Amino acid sequence: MPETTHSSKEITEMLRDWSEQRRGEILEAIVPLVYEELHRQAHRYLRRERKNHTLQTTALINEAYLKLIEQKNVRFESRTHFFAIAANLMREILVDHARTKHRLKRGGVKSDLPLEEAMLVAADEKDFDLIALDEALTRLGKIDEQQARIVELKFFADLTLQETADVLGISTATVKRDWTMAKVWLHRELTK
Amino acid sequence: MSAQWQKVKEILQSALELSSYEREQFLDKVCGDDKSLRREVETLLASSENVGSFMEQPAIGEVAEMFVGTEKNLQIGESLNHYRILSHLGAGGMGEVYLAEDTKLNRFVALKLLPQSLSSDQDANRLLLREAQAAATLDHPHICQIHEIAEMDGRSFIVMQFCEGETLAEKLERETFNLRETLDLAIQIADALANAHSNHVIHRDIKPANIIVNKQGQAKILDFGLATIIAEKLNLESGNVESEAETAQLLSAANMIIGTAPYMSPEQVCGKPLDARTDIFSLGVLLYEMLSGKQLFNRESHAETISAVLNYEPPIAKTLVDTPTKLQRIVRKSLAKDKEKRYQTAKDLLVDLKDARQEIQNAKAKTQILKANSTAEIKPLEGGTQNLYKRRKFAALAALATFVVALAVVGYFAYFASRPPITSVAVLPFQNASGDASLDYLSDGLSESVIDRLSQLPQLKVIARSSSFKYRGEITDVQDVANKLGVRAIVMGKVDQRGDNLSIRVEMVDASNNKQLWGEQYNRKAADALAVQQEIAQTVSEELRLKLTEAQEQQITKQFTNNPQAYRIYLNGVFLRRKGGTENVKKSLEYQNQALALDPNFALAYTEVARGYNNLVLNGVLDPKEGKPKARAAIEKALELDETLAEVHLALARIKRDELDWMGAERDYKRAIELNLNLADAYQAYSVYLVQVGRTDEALTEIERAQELDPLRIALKTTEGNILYFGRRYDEAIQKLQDAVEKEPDNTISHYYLGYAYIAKGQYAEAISSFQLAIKINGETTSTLIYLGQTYAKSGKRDEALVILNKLKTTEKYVSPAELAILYTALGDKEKALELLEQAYAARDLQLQFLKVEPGYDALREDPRFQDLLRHVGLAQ
Repeated sequence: MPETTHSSKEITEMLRDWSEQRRGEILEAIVPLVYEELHRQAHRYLRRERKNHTLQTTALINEAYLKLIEQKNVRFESRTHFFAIAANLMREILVDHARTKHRLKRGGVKSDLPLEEAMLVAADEKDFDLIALDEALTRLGKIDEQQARIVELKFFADLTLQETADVLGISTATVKRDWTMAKVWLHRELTK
Repeated sequence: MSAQWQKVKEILQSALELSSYEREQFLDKVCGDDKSLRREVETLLASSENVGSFMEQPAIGEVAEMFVGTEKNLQIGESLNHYRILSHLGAGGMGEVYLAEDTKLNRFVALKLLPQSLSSDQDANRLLLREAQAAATLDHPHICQIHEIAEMDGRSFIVMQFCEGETLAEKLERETFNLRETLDLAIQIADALANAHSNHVIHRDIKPANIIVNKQGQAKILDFGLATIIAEKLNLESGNVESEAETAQLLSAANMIIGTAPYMSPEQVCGKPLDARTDIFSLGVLLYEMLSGKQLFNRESHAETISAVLNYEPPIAKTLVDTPTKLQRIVRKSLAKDKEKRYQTAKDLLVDLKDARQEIQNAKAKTQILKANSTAEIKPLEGGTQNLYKRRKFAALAALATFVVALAVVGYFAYFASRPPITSVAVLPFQNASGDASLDYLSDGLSESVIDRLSQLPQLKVIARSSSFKYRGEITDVQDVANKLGVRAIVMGKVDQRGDNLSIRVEMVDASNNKQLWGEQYNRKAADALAVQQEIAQTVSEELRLKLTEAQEQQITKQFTNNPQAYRIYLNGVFLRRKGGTENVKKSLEYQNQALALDPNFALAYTEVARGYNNLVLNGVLDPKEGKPKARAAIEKALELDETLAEVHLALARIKRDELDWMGAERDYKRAIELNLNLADAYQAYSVYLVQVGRTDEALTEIERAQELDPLRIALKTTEGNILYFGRRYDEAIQKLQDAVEKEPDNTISHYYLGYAYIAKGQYAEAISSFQLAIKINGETTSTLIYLGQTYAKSGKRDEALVILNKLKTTEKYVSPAELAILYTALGDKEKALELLEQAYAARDLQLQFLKVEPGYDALREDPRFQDLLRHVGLAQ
């Protein structure tokens, strides 16, 4: 089947579709399959070996998802679909992981870190606030779906400008402009 | 998409291309009277100024820490030949790396496990061994030495020197290097390359991640020869691999990076045969990066990177405009695409680098002579690190000579004149004189052990570690240090270990007259570290002329463990936990378990285990449901083994308080203090307890005592401010906390409490700015939102408060019910507030410990339900 490009709108509808139906179920099935790869990725980043590794994870997520879909007799029409889904899944997986970690902290400033101990605890490096970013991204999605989609593809799935443009069927110049604005907007939301 | 958004988007895009002056005019024109449009665009423009590298790396990179740390190949405690695995250090260039103990030579080594796929074929292994021998012959101060490549059960592993420090990649990410630092590092690396090349070993993968730099600025190149070994082995196994490029492909296929594209030479990316000159190119790339802070050939995609390596000629005169022309020439020559035009040997490059450094120093010296006629400042610039090291040695010798003479004179008087006892002392961190940062744990640990022992003496004031350890390195003005710490005597020392020989030099100075009270050199075997610190502590107490009771005598010479190895591992663990960070704390737990395997009766190691778990819980890494019982079990075990450890009672007190057993907690706080009158932490913890139960005056006495023992720890000032706040002495609290903020601006807790105190005073604008500072440092937490909301509600900005409340209702993050009750109280919704407090009680929310004194609950206090709750929590009295 020849590849077709899909408008951002179609993709959104499609995502909404699966998200409403079986997001939790799918996530549960996929996470164990990609977890090891995510670990490997994380290691690479900690070793400062960057560039073009995340694609492997994306591919893996695609594969895992595809298997799942096949089992359930659902078909997708193009790689556009897969990337959109994979990026969205990657977002879900990472944010979910961050949430679990955050939930482990209990109590507020005064309590969670009882003051005398708080000062004895050597602080970790300040974490990137993925949960806040996720919340802001959801808000952005309501104002500008395309920008939110670009963020998912670029930031969560680590696609290049060109790949992002291909997936969304728009020009790289547009991706670049929207990506810049989305970053600025999200940055403002996170530092407000 | 709304029309408004479309407009914002267009205006923003145009504005981003304008200068700030033009922007103003442009915005005047396009926004007209639409103030909200203008504000939207302006805030976005402001944000674009600060966006920096935000979201530049993909999400997985941002949260990588969260994922790492569970998967491992080897178990702690497992042995490979005579190497016992102590902990997992991380994943290195081509496999998992472990810290291990060489039980034959009694030293620490790093052990790199080669991937299983490389460990099968017999012939291949033989070749691997032969190649390894070449690499292992390298013996150079800037090469991390390979001790051997060994095999067990068909698994090959590389045993190498354990080098501590940070990789250059990590450093480059954070800091910029000045010319001098850059040259020093480049010279060390070039020197190492020259040495390796003359032994016919090339590296092939010189890059920042393969260079470790320790605190003293000494570099070590990692993984020398490994790339070659692996390549050869793969060649052999695959039989028909002809080119380097194919090998490289194979290797990346096996998830090992050999030659990292942005640092590869042109011949390497083309897969041509390699010689030493490939390393020179890579070093050129690295040198460029250190000078400019920019990765020269790194591009968006792999293909672009390779193309840049092959074709991109950096305009060095432009991009390195601040670099002296001589050095520019060096960079240019190292980076010649054609290897014939490059430096032909690392030695040539080294000579030029040294010349460049000399020139810069001469120039600097000249200007300095012109500027000030002091030569003292110039001296250390000459001759680089090698000579610096020599000079330091010489200085040490000179000092020693003076010391011997001084000892002969002063010692005489000190010994024979009878003088009253000295009752206050600070033990400064012993210096690690070995030049080997992997022994920092030992020098720190030994001095800390001495502090711990001396602290047991009630007649002696001993300054806490957190204050005395602020004085690292050479002390020039002992009297000044003694004044700042509020003591009469200062103990200093130097630790050195060569092979199995441990030498420790210790001296004690009376700061009132700057005279040496005592000095001694201990030359022992490495295994005797345990006995030595005991001896030092005892001698110090004697030299201070303290009269000890028999029980005290026993206490100060007590054996905490009789296993020297366990003691060393314990010290290593303490060192890592203090360093902080999730990974270090996890590793420290592994160490302590290892120490306990060697000596199951080592009570101190159990206290460390408890600290480790508590730390993980506090940082949200470990579920409290899992971590707290583990910490408790460890503490109970420690108590069972040794009832006289003050730290154990302190930990128990904390556990009991968290369980709202207020009486039990107080007994243990008191017992901890009774056992160790010098334990600043215990006074602080007890002071917080006292304010929670409403005994402010006593709390202030305790925190004052803590500050006497730990005068340089600003956090104690913060605690004092907190106590004053809960004691409703807001003006004094504000004064203290402002002082703390000034001295330690990054302590979020000071900002928070300053904010609370301002709320209480009705200074809402100041409160908001304090919270905003806290957010800047620590990010926006749900707690901050609650207190911001409270501020709005109290200052009559109800709508803003409700917006925040709404945000809190929908967030996925944890919200403390007891804190949320504070916001509802401020909004006047007492019902909801009380309901939340009951929830908080059911969930044992730790914030409830402040139920009695928290000003935010004042409006609820009359309510009988609140009174009930106070009773349940155990704070009714």
